[in-house]
Amino acid sequence: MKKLLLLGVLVLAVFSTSMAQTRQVTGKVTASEDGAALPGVSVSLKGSSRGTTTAADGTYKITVGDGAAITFSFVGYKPQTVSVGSQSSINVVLVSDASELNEVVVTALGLTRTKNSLPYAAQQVKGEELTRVRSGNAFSQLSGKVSGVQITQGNAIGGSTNVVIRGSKSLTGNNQALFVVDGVPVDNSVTNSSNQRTGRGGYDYGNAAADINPDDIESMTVLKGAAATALYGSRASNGVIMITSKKAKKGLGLTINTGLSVGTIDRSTFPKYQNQYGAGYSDPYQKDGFFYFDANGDGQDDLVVPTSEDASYGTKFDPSLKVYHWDAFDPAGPNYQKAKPWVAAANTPDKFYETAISNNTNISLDGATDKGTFKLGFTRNEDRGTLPNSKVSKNIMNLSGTYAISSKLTASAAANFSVVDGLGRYGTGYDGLNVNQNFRQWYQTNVDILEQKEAYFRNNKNVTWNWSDPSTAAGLKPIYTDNYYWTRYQNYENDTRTRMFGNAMLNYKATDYLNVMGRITMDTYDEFQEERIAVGSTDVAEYSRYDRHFEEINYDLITNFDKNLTKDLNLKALAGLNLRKSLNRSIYAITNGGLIVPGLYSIANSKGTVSAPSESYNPREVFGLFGGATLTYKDFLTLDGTIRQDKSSTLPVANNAYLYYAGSASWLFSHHIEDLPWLTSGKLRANYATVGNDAPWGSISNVYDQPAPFGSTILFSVPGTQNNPNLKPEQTISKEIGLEMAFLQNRLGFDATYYHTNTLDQILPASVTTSTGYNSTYVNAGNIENNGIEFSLYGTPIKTADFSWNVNVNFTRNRNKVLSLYNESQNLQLASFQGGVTLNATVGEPYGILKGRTWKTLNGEKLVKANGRYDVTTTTTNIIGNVNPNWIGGVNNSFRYKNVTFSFLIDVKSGGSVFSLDQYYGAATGVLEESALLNDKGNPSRNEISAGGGVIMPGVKADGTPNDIRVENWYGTYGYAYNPQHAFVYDASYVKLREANLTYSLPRALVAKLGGIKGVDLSVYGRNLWLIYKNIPHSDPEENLSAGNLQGYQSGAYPTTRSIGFNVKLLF
Amino acid sequence: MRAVNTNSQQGGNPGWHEWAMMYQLNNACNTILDAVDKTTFTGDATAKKNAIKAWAYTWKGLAYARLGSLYYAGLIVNTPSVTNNVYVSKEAMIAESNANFDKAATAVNASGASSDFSEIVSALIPDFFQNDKGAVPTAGQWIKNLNTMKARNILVNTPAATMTAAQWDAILTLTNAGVGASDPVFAGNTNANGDIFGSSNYSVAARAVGSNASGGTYKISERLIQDFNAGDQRLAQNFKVYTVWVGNSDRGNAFNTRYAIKDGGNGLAGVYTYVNRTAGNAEIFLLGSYEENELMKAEAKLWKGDVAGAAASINAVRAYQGAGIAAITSTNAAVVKEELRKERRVALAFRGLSFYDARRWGVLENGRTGAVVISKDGSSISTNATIKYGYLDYWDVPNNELANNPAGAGSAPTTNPK
Repeated sequence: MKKLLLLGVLVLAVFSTSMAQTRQVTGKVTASEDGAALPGVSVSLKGSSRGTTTAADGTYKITVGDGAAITFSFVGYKPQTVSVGSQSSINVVLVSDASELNEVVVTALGLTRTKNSLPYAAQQVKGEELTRVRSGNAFSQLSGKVSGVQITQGNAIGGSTNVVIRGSKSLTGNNQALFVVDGVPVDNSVTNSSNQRTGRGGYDYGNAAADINPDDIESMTVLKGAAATALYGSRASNGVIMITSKKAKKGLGLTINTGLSVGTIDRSTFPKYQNQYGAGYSDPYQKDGFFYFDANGDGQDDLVVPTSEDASYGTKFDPSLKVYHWDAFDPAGPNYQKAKPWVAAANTPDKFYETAISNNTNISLDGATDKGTFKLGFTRNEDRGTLPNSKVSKNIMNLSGTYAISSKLTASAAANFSVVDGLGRYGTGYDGLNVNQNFRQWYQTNVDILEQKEAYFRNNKNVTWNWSDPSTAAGLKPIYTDNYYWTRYQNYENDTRTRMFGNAMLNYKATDYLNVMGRITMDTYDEFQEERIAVGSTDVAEYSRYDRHFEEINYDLITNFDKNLTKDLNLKALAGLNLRKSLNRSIYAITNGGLIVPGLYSIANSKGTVSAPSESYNPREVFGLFGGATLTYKDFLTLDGTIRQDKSSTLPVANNAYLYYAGSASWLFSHHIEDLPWLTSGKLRANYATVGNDAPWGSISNVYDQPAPFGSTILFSVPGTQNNPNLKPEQTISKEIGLEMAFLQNRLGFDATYYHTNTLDQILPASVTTSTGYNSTYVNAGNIENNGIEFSLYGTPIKTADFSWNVNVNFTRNRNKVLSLYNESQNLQLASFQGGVTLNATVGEPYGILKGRTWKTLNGEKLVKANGRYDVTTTTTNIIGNVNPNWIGGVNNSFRYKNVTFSFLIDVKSGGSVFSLDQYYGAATGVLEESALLNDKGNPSRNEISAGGGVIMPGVKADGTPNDIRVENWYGTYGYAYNPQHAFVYDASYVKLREANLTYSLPRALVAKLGGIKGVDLSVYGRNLWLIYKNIPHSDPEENLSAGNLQGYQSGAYPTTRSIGFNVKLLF
Repeated sequence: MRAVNTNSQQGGNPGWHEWAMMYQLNNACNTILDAVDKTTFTGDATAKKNAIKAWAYTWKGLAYARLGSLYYAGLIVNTPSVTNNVYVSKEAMIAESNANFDKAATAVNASGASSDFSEIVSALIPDFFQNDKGAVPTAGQWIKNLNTMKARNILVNTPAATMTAAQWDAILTLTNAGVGASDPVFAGNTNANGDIFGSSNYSVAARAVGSNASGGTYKISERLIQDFNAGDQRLAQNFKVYTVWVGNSDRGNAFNTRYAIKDGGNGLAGVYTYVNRTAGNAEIFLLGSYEENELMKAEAKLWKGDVAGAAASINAVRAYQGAGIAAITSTNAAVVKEELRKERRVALAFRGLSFYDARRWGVLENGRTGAVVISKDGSSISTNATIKYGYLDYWDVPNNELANNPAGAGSAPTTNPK
């Protein structure tokens, strides 16, 4: 090695003495691993500012003088410097640089830092990892790929994604990460109603960050702690997901992706029905067998299915018994006035679910010259869900360009335009618009779902199995439940969101170390949601519309300084200001008392007088001043400090400015360790940061609200929450230490972080003495602590020319604790759900504790009463669950053999509780298979005790002896009627084969023959292929209601969709 | 009650609701009183301000009356949006109620002569309340309503057995100047829009309507039905008898019943109906009523020894409601007293008064005999059941309040020693 160096010096010395001449050098740059041409490689003359980049075919052309040396550098590859000598053609093979530590990482405000100098945790995910399994939503694809981030997504199409970094910090405020695309903060509001979030019905409209085009993402960097995000100010207190969009490369490039996927429900996440007993309730509720009246007009009374009863604790099936079912009362049906055998339905409700079909096409075109670059992309994604009549489509167009006005001044602009249209999103929660409310809770096992389908489509009428009273003509209407096809095809919603976000920027490079950037960014969208209930439904016909406009404009001015102060000391500094103006404006109107003309959905078609629409108008302005400095000594020691002051319009004038700061340090200790061949690099980092947060809009001064008038009397009233003119900003204090090490030439490495945060002075509505006339008042109170460990491991166990195997492991363990609330208060109820269960923040417990009734116990055993049923507490404040997982993690394996790559991701969540209202009711109504098992005597447990039936509930009697009291297995035995809420809290752990992908890249030789095409990738992929492990019966443990703070509750849960797709990628 | 009187129960604490709602009403009135003198009015400003003050003081009087008649102690809060921590006894709360009714009367008297008085009052009372008994009262009629409430404050907060002659005299004086048969009262109503009251669920009675004995959310008690005299047209008008409905066995026998209430009556002309779910036809007594006033008068007369006078008042109420039963002719005080008890049950049903009556007559403490109860399986109906209630006569101050506003020095006890 030393000899070689010496030789190089000698060669240089020789050439430096010769005469300077200029000539042209050409060549091609290729990649070592596959020989493919590398476009966009920076080709620069060493020691000068001159340079170029390689064209799309990897070729370059550069004018050099004698004795020059050319440096070739490209992200992800080791830079290479070649002395020109007398050569006129230099072909270079770049070797990929597996060193994670030398990676360039994009940090807050789009600054780039090398990873080995970064003093805080930032984890990067490449765009291709997010699009390997094609879907319209890049964020749901993050699950398991980054440590410290908990992603939760329900199974409804277009549903919202909950993204929480390092645990929940705010008691009642926002805990979602901030999304930033190329410096543009992108709004991620969830507009789901409070009813929807608490499981009382409504639609999950998804979150707004889903408008980001996954195919335009070059990389996603997750900035996890306050030290990393402090420059973004208060809004980034929950961490930032920074997206860097793809950059144009020299020449013209065209990429086309097109593919299709199909999905079916995972049967293991849907109820298994018992098939021995049919419609009806039993004792003790109301024992009823069949209805008995003249159903066919022959003057004789007949046995009729009790259609109004939505349970399956009725008569035992008996094919020899002929009874009149719901369809005997449908004059248009083939069984009108006909009896049928009393048997279980041939087609259970899983047949209601259809095959989901998604197609996704993306075209991106980019190009660059010496003067400028441009990029144009279009993505269309259409998802047809597993429910009939459901579709969410997305059309996204993005355009960006840069232009070098002079050598010092560069202008750039980017715009992203999207239209998202939803139709027939899935109804959620305990509501008739959610078909699962019945399928999982209130159903008759004798109802054949496909017969219901035929009954609806015959005349598009609401022919339900759930006739109110089939003995009278007036009773031939649904009592509780509409025909599910009627629900899907008549009572549907539709929505659309039109959005524009982008920026315009001027960058002035004053000197080689000083650079000034001015930028205006904008994010604006309008959304429109229509919901309807048709005339003829169980519920009163209704139409509502919601119009919302959002806009945010940021004005940024940032000066950057980057200079080597001495040979060993580099200073990077910045100073800037940011003015953020945002506006949220909406109007919601709903009809009253029904619709006059069926099928006409307009507010004017309201039967009753329409109340004034509810309107909101929330402007907000935050002005920030910030600065930062990074000192790097000899590439191994880095000190970083940032400071920012925000002034927010939502805080009282006296307290509206708040300052926060961060200090970080990193030490590349491996710099001092030589002669350890196995150690590639090692870095230690530590930081401390504070970050503030302003108040919710409109929480400072008391105002009257204006309720709907009483007749013609106009009202103003005092609202239930008292505002507080003395609010201070919230504060999060964060500490973090981390260790990053790489071994064996980067074949193995890890990044481990320990963090600790306290969020103090939280702004929350605390319940107060009602004798003030208020229920609650805004206060600064409370302290939540989070501490945790994040661990990422990467390794390349095998690497040969033809075959390689890469493993990535991510592990996150967060411990969260509520240290205090307002005054002496020990509990803050976050939500009250149907089923008598509440979600709480309780002092001394993690944030998100489920409370409800539990069993009384004796020596740890469940106590039964003298009647043999469980003894249940009367108090509802027992802790019965904690929604926070014990740990989460993901393991990704990828294999490459020549042109074939195969990868799969296992996603794991351990622990965390979920309350299932589906089991609470479903186990009571007798629809599930476990309600009709054989008992300990081997007899049908539903037989009366006198006939050998009945069951013995596991537990002990008051005297401590094992329970031996046999009870009837009747309505409620396993469900809510005889069991506490605690019985329906399940461990939400799961192990999922989340993603698998097999890609075949056509051999270069073959592609070359196709002409004009540079590459063809064919891939097959699958998502949610296998739910390997779970503990909740009949359901997907990950299913939830909506993104937000209210987690750990299922009602009318949707089954997992297992999808398989095919994609073709063409590179021109 | 006490097991769930904890702050963490929030709305699940039954004792919280009346407390919170009445203090919200009180705070709204405090806010009005605070603002009224700072506001500029056109026309006869003094009359207008006094009309508004009369309105606020009247509802404050109701708030304190309801609080003092249900809770063992309370807080007197006469400043908007704040509170204090000096709890006072229920007697002091009733005194504060009366003081507010008196302030209301003063304001009514100071304003009533002006034509601007009725202009303001007509605007304060929602238009759809202003028909039938809910008509806009004159100043004199308003005062009568206040007197009836003051009489109630005395009657319902003293056990019948320990009432003094002075108290009976006061009730007689107040009820003689109380609501008459033709006077408007502060009565609410429903409208199609469901402003304030939903037409199908505006009261317990409205929610007990049903086409079988399971009724609605609420059930009709067999014990209410048994207090109707034979032939009382109000029974025929308002109730229908069905096959026995048996509730969840784990909830005891109290709800088991044969009766459901009939919406809008069974078509008997001139007979009082408890429920009318057609929008605009409800009658919701927010303060007192003629029947209540007249029956309080009857009770005072009875205790003063005027048995015939008492019977005449009861007969008048029965005639007013179209009961269609023979007038009481007995001069036996015990017989008339029993008729009075039954009449208060029947005539004042669903008006939020029966708990007070059960308390002052000792039913809470001593229970009752001769009650009609349907057995657990619905197979037998006892007409001579004994029921022990053991309910608290006055509720403890809800813990939702105490947890956030602990009793300060000099406070009265906040827990009923019973």
